Amino acid sequence: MTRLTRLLAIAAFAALGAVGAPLMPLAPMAEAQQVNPTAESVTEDKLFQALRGDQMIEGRASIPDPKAPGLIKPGNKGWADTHTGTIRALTVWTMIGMVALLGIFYAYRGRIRIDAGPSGRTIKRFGGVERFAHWLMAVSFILLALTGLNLVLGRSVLLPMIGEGAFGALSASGKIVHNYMGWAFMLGLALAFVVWVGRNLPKAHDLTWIAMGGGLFKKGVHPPAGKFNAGQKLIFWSVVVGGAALSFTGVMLLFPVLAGTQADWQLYQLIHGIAAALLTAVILAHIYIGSIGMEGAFDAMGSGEVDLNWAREHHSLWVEEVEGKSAGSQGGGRVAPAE
Amino acid sequence: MKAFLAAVVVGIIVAVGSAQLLDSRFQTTTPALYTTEGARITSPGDNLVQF
Ligand code: HEM
Repeated sequence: MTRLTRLLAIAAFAALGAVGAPLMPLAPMAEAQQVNPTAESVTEDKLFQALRGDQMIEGRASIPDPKAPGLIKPGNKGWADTHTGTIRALTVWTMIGMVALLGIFYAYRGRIRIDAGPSGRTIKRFGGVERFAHWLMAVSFILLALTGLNLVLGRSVLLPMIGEGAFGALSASGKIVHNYMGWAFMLGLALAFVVWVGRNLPKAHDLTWIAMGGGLFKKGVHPPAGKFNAGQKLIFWSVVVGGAALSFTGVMLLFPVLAGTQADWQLYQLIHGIAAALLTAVILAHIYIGSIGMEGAFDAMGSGEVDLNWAREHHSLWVEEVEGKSAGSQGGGRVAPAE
Repeated sequence: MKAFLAAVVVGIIVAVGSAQLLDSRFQTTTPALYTTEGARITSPGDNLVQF
């Protein structure tokens, strides 16, 4: 071999080496692709890198759930922020706001008394079916509100107070109560709607009632009202509309397959959270005025009989109607002396 | 009081009844529904905080 041919041979070998080096690992990889099914699976490192970004992460899953492979979608991240940020803030501030308002109202007005004092005579206000419907709706709503509030605030408020074990047990049973008490609420809501809707249609005198602030802010002011005044009609329609929205979205959340895709679940959850916060605030005001806020009001839902003077002050048109009817049926016995 | 107690009792009956009906006829847990011969999903258990 001449010196030149030896040099050429070395150069060719080196060139082959330079090209061949990167090719070397490729050969076993191509082979491995046929035998190793996980060769292309995501490495943990890559996954964590990707999770940090805001890109869509989707893959294949071997379970027959078409939604399972969608691990992260940019929309879901935005949703998580809305859920843990906006909804939580809305819930906290509507609750605090309403309790503060009621506190201010109580400080300013105190307990609204029967101006003429109790008469000692009562008048039948609500029958057994009406009170049953009310309490079915009320008991279930209060349980739903408490267990629902735990879903929104429990981790930050209750967990540090009672510890993981107790909070875990409480939340797991709370979730079961929430899922199934919903059906009792729907039944109560439907019943209350049927028994009361006729009495809650808007009337011209409702405007006078609203213009006079319902007489709530001043002693001795009593605008005329039928069986339900304009304020109560507002409560009734809030309960009907809010309750229907909560019921529909609640059933969709119970049966996500019926509801559609992630985007639908998010919309339903958003409506559920907002309606729950707003209706709970309205109900706080309702519970206040139906119990400590107004003398004589609770009896309407307790025994079903209210004091005649209370009825004349708060529902004058309704009393005239009842007295007119009972006079027509010769005393009818609807207004009775209290025991 | 009677109306209130009746509402509590009926509320419990409706809740327990709907739970029975839904669990027996309309609902399946995710682990049960999506477990196949090739992929088994274990139940997360009852305690959603500690598992
Ligand atoms: C401890 C809780 C509650 C108390 C003390 C209470 C008390 C009352 C009282 C006294 C009335 C009759 C008012 C009247 O005679 O004019 C009433 C009516 C009513 N309640 Fe309740 N209630 C409670 C919870 C609830 C809940 C949770 C809901 C709904 C989710 C609700 C919905 C209604 C509705 C729609 C009416 C008829 C319209 C009205 O009076 O505003 N109540 N409640």
